[in-house]
Amino acid sequence: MGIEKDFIKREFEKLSLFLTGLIDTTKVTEPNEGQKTIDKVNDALKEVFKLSLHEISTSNDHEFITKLSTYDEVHLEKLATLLYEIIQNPDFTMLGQDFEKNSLSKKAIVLLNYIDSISTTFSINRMQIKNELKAL
Amino acid sequence: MKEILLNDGRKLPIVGFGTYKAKEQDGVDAVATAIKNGYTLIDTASIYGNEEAVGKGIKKSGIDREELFITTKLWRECLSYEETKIELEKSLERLAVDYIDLYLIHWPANAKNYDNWQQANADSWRAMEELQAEGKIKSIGVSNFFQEHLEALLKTAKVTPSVNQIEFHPGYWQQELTEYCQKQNIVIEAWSPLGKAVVFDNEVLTSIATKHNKSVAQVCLRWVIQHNVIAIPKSTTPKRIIENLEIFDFELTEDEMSSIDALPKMGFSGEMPNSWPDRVK
Ligand SMILES: NC(=O)c1ccc[n+]([C@@H]2O[C@H](COP(=O)([O-])OP(=O)(O)OC[C@H]3O[C@@H](n4cnc5c(N)ncnc54)[C@H](OP(=O)(O)O)[C@@H]3O)[C@@H](O)[C@H]2O)c1
Repeated sequence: MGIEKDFIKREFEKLSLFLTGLIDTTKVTEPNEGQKTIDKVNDALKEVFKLSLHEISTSNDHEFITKLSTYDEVHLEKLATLLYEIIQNPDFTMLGQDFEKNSLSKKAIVLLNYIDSISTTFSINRMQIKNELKAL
Repeated sequence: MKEILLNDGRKLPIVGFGTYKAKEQDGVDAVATAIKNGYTLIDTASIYGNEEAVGKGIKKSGIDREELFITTKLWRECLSYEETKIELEKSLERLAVDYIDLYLIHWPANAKNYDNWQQANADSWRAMEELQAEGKIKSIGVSNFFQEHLEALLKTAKVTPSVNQIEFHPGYWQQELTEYCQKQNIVIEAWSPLGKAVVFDNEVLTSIATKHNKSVAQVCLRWVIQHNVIAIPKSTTPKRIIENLEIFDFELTEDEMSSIDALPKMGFSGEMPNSWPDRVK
């Protein structure tokens, strides 16, 4: 029982760290390295959430949330932050071929609304991200 | 209960228990009653003269220390590096705990009372940062800071305040300051969330309360938390202590929120960071 609990905790933390690392990568893009970063994010998202940026922007809201509903709120919050970082960084949105900024931004808002609905924790950061995305 | 995430990663419940004027045996009993009925965030201050009573109330409740979030505050006449450290130790002793969850500068130093108010606030803050690093305080914050006090503090602060506890109730809610703090990811805590019970006759509030079959006190508290602000109502009356937690089974509409937002000034304490110890009208 204890070993199983430890394993779950380790896996949980591993995913948290992985997503945090991914968010950090999107913040320090070298000039002309935008596409490389997007490719890295795409690979990671496919591996973890079975969704690419393109699939996220084109999926319907219900399917999108259903796919993500098995994940913990902490990880979903990190996914939302990751999407936000990508959307608001002109280095990425200029690329244009992997996702459409407006639809990705709408999906990020859907995700944030979902997190709000399941979470018992209010986060100012979450509220701010949502407001900024709405204003785009 | 719903919680609010602080900028240091810790969480606080959205409703806590205020203890100003809850002294001696009344204070002990009120705190124990509050905790037994589900409050975990307890707000006191060295100036309230009730830290011992609060500590006894906590013991009496029988709840584990780790389940609780204890807030206390550094008094405005003790704003220096050395005094901050001494005052914290005194609070720990009076509360009979070995750490404080949230320690606040009660009021900022101001030009009226300090030769260099910026330095006094910065020095106390540096001491609080050190006490936080030592584990004697979990989260550090401020109270009654205006934007100008925060901006001055942030010039030298290594840690951004997690909380600004300010006067916030229907009839006086410092909207601009609240918005500024939320932009800085500083959580607002509302003191006197019931307007010290002097706003209860207001017609807008009574009609909204009737509509929801709730008390005016509950409407005030619901309005506070729907602004994503922590409320810390005080009561020494067991029935009211419980009533003040029963605010999670109804919701104010956007129109109701706006009409409470727009209420004229009422219930204002007259206390201002730049004029203490004098009150304004
Ligand atoms: N940081 C600061 O500078 C600062 C300043 C002021 C206050 N505070 C903190 O904020 C806390 C709350 O503020 P506050 O004590 O000034 O005022 P408050 O909570 O707005 O109002 C307290 C008054 O309301 C009454 N009351 C409570 N619940 C009620 C209910 N359900 N129905 C009717 N009446 C009710 C209480 O009476 P009974 O007790 O008789 O029931 C008491 O007279 C303080 O206790 C303190 O911890 C901080």
